Amino acid sequence: MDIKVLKYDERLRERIDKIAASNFMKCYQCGMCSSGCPSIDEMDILPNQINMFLMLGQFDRVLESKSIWACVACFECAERCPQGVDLSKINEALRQIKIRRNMDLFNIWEVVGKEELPTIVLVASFRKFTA
Amino acid sequence: MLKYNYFPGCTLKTTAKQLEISAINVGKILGFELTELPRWHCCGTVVTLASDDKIRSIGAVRTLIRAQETGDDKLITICSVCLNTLRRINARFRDDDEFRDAVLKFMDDEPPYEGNIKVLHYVDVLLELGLDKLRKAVKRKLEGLKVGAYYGCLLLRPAEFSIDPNTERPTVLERIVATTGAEVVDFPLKIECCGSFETVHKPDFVAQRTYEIVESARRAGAETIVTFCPLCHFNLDRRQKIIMQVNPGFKPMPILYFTELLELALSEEELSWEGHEIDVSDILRRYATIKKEA
Repeated sequence: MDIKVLKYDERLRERIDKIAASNFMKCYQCGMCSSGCPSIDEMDILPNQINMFLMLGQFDRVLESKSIWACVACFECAERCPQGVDLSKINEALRQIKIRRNMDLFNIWEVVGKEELPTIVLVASFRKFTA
Repeated sequence: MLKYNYFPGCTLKTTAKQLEISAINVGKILGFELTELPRWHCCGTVVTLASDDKIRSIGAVRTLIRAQETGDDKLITICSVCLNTLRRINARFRDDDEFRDAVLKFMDDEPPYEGNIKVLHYVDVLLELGLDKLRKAVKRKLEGLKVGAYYGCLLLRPAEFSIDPNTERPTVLERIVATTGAEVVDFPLKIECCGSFETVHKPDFVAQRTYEIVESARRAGAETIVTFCPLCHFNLDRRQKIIMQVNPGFKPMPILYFTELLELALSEEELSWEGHEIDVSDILRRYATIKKEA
């Protein structure tokens, strides 16, 4: 695996910690989160690798990944983590960091109106994926 | 008649009307009434997981204040997402001083929420009544119907807010299904996520999840899946249409709301179930007469 040691962005780490309120540094890479994740087919890096890259300070690699958007917070990883790391909160923090920079994952107008969708999925989806 | 304060949430008033209608009917038969709060607010649909985001919890707290104003300390929900959101925000309000102070300051035109509302699920009401009472009230025994009960994620996780203390092998829904005389089918993917709100921009991915869940239930012997969640129902029901387009050999499986199954067993009336993509009339016809449109 290609691992680069970069200057650790302490400010960004603090920001992720503050929003997530769950400490990724406690992860010992057992892989329990990845073994149970139902969204794995839509991910380019595995849930445990999200924690690994964060521990290594490779924040951009995680922030630019597809994986943070594939998580729908079903809490399987969070419930089963032997270290009590809540990856659903960490993913939320990573998405929030992108969204607060005024980013939309998709264009709302391209998905609305194609079919009748439950109110719940529209509100949830716009909240999670758009600025 | 027992009366409970009831919070419907957005989707039981739109695409999941049949869930609300059947839940209310079942309540009437069993002797309890769901009294809708005279005014309520969106729960926020999904609980915010960002610790510094407080504004998206305001709607839920307002609803809890509306419940508090009635003088009763219980609030019933049916939707899994509303249950999870209201329970989590309620707990955060009680446990997180900084959060509570900020919310109360922001909402200082409202009577302050005291944190005493117990958010209960429809299942809790059934358990409180007692499953024996349910069993005795059955008018049409659903003998021969093979039912897989699907929990999805938000009825079970996080464990602190679960409707069953065993989050990996829950049995509460199965115990309720068994009272109807139907045959309970246990299947491994009953606690796995359906793909949730990814259904908006990735319907194909959710169709894949649906395929795995439906086939898991079928392999275990189920002919139908029942669910409490309006979102799971939408995904498991509607997304089968995509599976059928991709895989013409796929046999669709009817997906019922949990309370529709109870209504079928407890009611003596003619029934009609609206809002299903996959035809449910075979199951209905087996045990009841289908109500003709007026």
